[in-house]
Amino acid sequence: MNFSPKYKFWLMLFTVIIILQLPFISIPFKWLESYFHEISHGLTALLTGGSIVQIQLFPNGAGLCTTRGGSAFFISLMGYGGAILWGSLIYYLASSHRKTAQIFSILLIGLLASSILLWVRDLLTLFIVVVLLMLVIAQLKYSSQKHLQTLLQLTGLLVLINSLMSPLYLLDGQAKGDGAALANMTFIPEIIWVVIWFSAALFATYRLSKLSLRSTR
Amino acid sequence: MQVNNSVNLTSQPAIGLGKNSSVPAQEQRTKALAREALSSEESQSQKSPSDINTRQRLDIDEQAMALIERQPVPPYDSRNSSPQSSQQNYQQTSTNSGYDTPSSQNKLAVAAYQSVDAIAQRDSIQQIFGVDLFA
Repeated sequence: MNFSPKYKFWLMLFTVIIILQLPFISIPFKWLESYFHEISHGLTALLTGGSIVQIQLFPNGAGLCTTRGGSAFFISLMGYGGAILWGSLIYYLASSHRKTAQIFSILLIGLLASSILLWVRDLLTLFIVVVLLMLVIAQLKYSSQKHLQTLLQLTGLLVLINSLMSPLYLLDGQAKGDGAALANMTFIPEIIWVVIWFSAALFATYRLSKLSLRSTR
Repeated sequence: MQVNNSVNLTSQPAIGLGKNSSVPAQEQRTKALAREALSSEESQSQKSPSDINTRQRLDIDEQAMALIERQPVPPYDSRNSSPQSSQQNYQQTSTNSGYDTPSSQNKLAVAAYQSVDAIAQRDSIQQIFGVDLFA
């Protein structure tokens, strides 16, 4: 099927929304978003002078990053923020060049492998990260360079749309999660942080749609 | 005291009547009267708890009535007094007044309690191990 490149982004967005509604197929992609969320917490801890103690992922898409030191504010902020950045980056780099998509896939495999070696300390998380690693390796090995680009773009959009929706789960009336942690630190209500993350994800999606239009011209 | 006397009277006549058939008629009449008195007393004593029960039930009913009276009555809409609109109003109230659904205040209270518990757990873990947890 050869769709006009103009509508490719919207078709992919529609496909992503459908995939996320499917009961079993959506699970690995929820794990992927959860992984990028937790690894963003961890990498921000490293960047602000702290260290990662452990990363845990759960089958229902939840996750936990245990850190020591670093800036608690930025670490909390970059959970959802980082997932948005990862999603946008994957889509952007996959769209830019075929070779770039290939290099980025190899970097992603390196990140997942180093996460297993350094920060995964339980069997359930090991299983989930290995599944994600296999997914990226399969994308790289069994798809031609052209299809690799499209698959990576889809992966980026899946992470982005998941990170668009996931802050909304914080609006459950329970003072839990990154929003509550930021509210405790800054006295800015949790809902404001949820709105910031949601708006950022929406803006990133809009920018990527513009980018896809520009690349077709 | 009357009960004791009557009990004695009832236990004795059967034996007496069986043993001796030549009892004077007056004595037999007094015994029969005593038996009647005993049976009426027994029936009264059986009735009295049921009376208390009915009184209690009446008390409960009065309380329930008082509660119902205290509930605010929805304003009557004179503009939509047709049978169809009244049926719609009934459907709305029946869906809104789910008898087993907790009130929003209760829900908030439970959520607040659970959140405090989670924060306490989180703080204790952070203090013991000197680490930060980010979900």
